[in-house]
Amino acid sequence: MMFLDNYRRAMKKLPEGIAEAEINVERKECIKIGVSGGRVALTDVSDVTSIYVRASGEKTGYAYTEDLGEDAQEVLLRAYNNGLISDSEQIDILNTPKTAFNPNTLNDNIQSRNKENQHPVNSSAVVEKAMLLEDLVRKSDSSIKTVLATVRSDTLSSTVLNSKGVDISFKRNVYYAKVNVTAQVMGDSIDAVYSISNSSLEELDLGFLVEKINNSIKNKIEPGSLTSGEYPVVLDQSVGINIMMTAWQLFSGMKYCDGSTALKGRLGEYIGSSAFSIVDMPFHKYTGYYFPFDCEGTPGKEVMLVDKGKFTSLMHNNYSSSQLDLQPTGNAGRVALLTGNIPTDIIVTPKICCIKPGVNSTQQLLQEMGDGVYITESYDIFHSINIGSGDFAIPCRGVFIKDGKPSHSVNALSICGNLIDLFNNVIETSNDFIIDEFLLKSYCVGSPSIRLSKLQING
Amino acid sequence: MIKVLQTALSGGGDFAELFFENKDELNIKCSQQVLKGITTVHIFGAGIYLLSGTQSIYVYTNNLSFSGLMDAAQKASELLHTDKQPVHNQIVFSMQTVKNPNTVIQYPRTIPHQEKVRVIRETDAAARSAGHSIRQLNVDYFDTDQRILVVNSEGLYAEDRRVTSRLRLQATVEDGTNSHYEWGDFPRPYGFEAFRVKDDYISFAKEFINDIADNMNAVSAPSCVVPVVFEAGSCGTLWHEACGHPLESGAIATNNSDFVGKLGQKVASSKVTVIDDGSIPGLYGTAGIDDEGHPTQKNVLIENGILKGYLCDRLGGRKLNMPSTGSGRRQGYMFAPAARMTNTYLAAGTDDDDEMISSIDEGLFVKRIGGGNSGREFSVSVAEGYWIKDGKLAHRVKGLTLNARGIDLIKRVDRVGKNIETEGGGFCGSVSGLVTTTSFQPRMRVSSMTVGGEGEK
Repeated sequence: MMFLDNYRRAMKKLPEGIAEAEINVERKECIKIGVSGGRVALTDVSDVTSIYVRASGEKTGYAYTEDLGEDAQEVLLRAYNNGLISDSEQIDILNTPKTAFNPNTLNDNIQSRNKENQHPVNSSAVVEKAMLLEDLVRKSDSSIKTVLATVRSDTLSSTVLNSKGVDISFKRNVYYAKVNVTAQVMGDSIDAVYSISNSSLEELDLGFLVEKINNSIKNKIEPGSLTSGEYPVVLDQSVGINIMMTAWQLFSGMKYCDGSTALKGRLGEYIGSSAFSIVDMPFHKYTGYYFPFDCEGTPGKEVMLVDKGKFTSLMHNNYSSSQLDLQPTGNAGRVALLTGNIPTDIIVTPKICCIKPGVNSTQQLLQEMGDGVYITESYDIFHSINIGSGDFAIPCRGVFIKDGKPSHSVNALSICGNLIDLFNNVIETSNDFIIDEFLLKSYCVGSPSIRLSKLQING
Repeated sequence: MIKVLQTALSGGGDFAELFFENKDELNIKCSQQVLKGITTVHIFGAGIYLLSGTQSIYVYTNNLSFSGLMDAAQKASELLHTDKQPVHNQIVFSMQTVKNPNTVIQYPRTIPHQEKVRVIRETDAAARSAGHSIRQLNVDYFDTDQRILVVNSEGLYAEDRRVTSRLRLQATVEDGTNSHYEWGDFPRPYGFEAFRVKDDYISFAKEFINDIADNMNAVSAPSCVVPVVFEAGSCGTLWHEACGHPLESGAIATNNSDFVGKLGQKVASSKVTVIDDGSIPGLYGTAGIDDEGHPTQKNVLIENGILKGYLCDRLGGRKLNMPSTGSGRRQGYMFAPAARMTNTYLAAGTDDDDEMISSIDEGLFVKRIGGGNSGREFSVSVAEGYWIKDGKLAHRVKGLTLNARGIDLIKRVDRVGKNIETEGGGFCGSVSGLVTTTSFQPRMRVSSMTVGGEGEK
């Protein structure tokens, strides 16, 4: 990557007026294969490098480019000039080699994974896996009429390079499998979709994926209606994931500081039941995503956000931690939600933000609930939760549970309430736990199934 | 470019396309009245799209040197799984000139930053003057200038330039006990002339804050089945979700839609005519050409309740044996094109707007929809809704999401008003990324719909 050397040189001889500068380079090399009807239907291959630049004199300015041939000094100057118009009295805090991530602190597991990641699999291995997955799904249930099995191999590289001497890089491989099916059952068309990820192509658990797809179809057969009201509920893992995909913002240090979340001023208080904990971590064995450092170069730390119901910590970048006189937690990021523009601001984003699992399986949670509703799927991640108030109204579907066993499916539901009430109504979380990536691949969230004493369901 | 296309085709593909994107974005952030600065974004890359029958290969890169493009073309060629022999047709480009219906007067790059900052300051001041307690307010300014070039092995050479300007407001309003957060966009498919009429964005800012404050006094709706009236304008999102996405060729070709095999059949109430048209001047979803170089056009999807057509991109058209409808769209070079909506609307009918509400004993009036989700079952969130009692609007309701099976719901439309209103527009996220769209309608009524809230009837 010759352009990086150009930036290294520019950092050593910054253009006039610029006191300090930093670049964050994100490179994504992806192979995506889609198989349908026993043949490869689509192939996407890409290699894109994004350069985020910030430069400070008396103020800090930002720029972004994908033009690798641009003169490094000119890009730095563009960022610097963009900052001149700012009202801000402060310049951004840059890490030094002392405060930034140190590659020697990686444990042996990660070190060895890092070495493996230098050699991602080739496209034919991805094709083979997608073919196998499509075949397994198609043969798993005779009601399945169409299948699209997609397997993706991503190699994601991050570099932070600044004028204070920080020059760190990390590469990780993520393998991802997704299945979309349409089944015909008793004259009705039923769609189902599910996905999984792993750091190893071989370790993608295709059997689990097939089981989830088959269960999803079963849970949608002959849906009935439900009388609106409060019910004892078990939320499936995927519903917990859906909620966390938005709800993590409650724990953003920046949002906490500007008062735009429902948890404003409540740090240190109990906001959930003793069965409810949330942790944000840089690494988890269930996913190939790994966040040893953030986009500012700060090491990724494990942070207990909610500990047995108590709101204990926030996720921070350099700016938000300085506002509260705390240490950053390695949560500086840019891509938080879907956007039509390239997000360039450094904000707070999670690493792998998870509701902590419990000791019993989802099946045991359903049995303990006895009679109630098992919410199996939910939709519309981004319009259904208000972070300022905590109110939510989430479209979903589910299965009636009678004496701990599935009775019949129900669709066109919505679950309504407030997130804080939901946290307080958690009786137990399951030990079967999944992690999923955010659509734009910038973070992950994880959830077990969650048993609630009550939840308003409208049908 | 000819050499790159020929290399891509050397593995046996029957069609190759090069999509170049050169895009500038400017973003100015103002948080709590402090101008945080300006960010400039330069997006610069290309995608090579290769087809062999209904098999597709998409390779993209931001290495736009000749060798970078040749590498990408070679990779695309190698990835094609076909026994077909390469066809060595001579490629001769023919320039296609299509005028973008959205005329730009002041290109963003020609306007000094201070002018854009002035708009931010005025918007911020207007929001704060609305008379409510604002805990937090961010006003962000965005403009984009996208230049695209599409060339393909059939000799097409087509360019388009799309310019947009947008303000985004994010605010948390409080009343002592409660607080509520919302975001709202003021999007325009223009250059800086979008801000020529100060009253436009000033009014938008005040209404945005007033609406958040009003929403804090809203009460939960009861759970019941009632008639629902959807106001003219942005409630057209319902059509986007309920039948727009299921009519895209991607959903039809994978049998993932209730509209499969129903062309020519009655699928909706006779009052329903749904159109998608990417060529309407002044709308956010408008362009001169789609992202495959096909001129945008008016596509009638449902006419008087009869299903008339699907939205097709090139590949979707191949799968369905239909021509492209100028609907091949993508966020940028990082996405292969897919059939997507542009400006989708319910055509005007003949019913009286006032009667739609006055004839209801109890029901729901949806004034604005916040966003939605699609599939065989769709959902839309109610951003502004009122309970109807004895033919009049009684009080505002909160926390509502409406969901139903699209093909069932559109059969229950019993009123369509005469006065169609457009909307500012927004982004639709799907397989080919986020694309600009609008969806609008005249006032319309669904005879019965499940409404679910936490309140008592």
